[in-house]
Amino acid sequence: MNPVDLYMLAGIVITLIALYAALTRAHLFWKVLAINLMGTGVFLILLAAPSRRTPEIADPLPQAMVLTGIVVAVAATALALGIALRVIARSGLPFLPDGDEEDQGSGGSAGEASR
Amino acid sequence: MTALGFLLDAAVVLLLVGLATRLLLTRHLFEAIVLFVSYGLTLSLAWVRLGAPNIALAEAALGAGVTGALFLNTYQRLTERIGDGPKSPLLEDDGSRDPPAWFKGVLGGGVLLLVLGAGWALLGAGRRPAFLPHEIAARLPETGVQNPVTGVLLNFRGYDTLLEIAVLVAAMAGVWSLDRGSRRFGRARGEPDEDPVLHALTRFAVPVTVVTAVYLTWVGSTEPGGAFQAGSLLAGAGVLLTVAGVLPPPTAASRPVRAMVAGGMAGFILAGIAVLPLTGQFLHYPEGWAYPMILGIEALLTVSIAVVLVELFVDVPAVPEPDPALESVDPSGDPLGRALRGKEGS
Repeated sequence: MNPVDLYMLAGIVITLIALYAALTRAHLFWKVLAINLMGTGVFLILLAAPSRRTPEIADPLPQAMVLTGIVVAVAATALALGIALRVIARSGLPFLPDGDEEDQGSGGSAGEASR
Repeated sequence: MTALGFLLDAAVVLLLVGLATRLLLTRHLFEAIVLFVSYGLTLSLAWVRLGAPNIALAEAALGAGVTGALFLNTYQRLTERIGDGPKSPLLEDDGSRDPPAWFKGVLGGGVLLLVLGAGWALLGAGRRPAFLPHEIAARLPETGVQNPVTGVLLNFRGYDTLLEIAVLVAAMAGVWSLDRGSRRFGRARGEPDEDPVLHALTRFAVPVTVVTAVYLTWVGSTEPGGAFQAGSLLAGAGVLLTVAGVLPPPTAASRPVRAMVAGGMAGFILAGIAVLPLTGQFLHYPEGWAYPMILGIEALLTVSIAVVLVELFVDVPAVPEPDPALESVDPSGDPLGRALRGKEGS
């Protein structure tokens, strides 16, 4: 296994454990963190894939795409944190409100699961 | 030498996966944020190892630096609001709201399958030689710059970069529309200097940062660097100046701030339109004009990006004040404060 394959594998693992965390952690800040990490995992795959095909020359196209992606991720994170803080200001809690507030018992977890 | 290189790669990869797992599983917000910054810095090492210094620069400055600062600032605002009271669900997630175990199990199984499937598909994929890098290398002289990444960003794929700055401006508009005008940064003019360390750091770091940012913008056409890396450095200087109270926090109400936020995008679009009569295509620079146009657009972008990032940092994390609209519905107002007080009582 060559080093580039290692980074590719790391990209796959990080993307998917971050996907798992984004779906299973109810806390909004961890959702934002997890989505950030998913992005970085995809960037790793994007950059490692062309290096496997043409190791002798760095492909500038995916590099430009990843550069764009990093900047967009920062902007999206700032907006997401702003929205999370508005949720906190409204409910006092860093969680999305349950789908149906009447059914407090299993409603919350079902609401989470369906997302 | 290659064995040593492989060991380094293996260490970086293990560190990345370990840090990511730990930060996603921990229950303490502060720990997660610190791990996130470490993760970003480790990732920029990975970019260097993958031969992408342009991205390493951006990752260190934006991915680890600015994003980490946004999270830390949010954390700081929350703790200010809460004080040193009992553990709050805002900062310590006990997982009580998380989905049930069966859901986690099913999802975990699915994710494992996806890892195996994606690993098989991507690592087993054939290695047909790519033609695009050679194509880009062959036609790079036409772009007017020597750094192939800058060539792709501002010439071949100029549209992408235009839309990217549009996303930044849109995010800025979104944050401004969430803002309740509750900024508490810096000192008022004439107030005594409380923090000599911050002041000294500002005096030392800001000039160095500004010079480096100008250099990065300039050198971006030939070497790793460019508007986004330079803009984030400049934003770092701007944040320091704002926190130290030297600069008033930029606000949506200020005309120059709005002009600078929109300037990069407006300049980019105008440049795209200006070349229309000459070349007949949007953003298709006429021969011989590519280099000065790219440099001009990059300079405008650097300023825009810097101002947007400072503004995002200063605006977002202030914990919103009680919502007057909500207060009319609920006379006790301030649901955040009430929830926290309720927590203290229990």
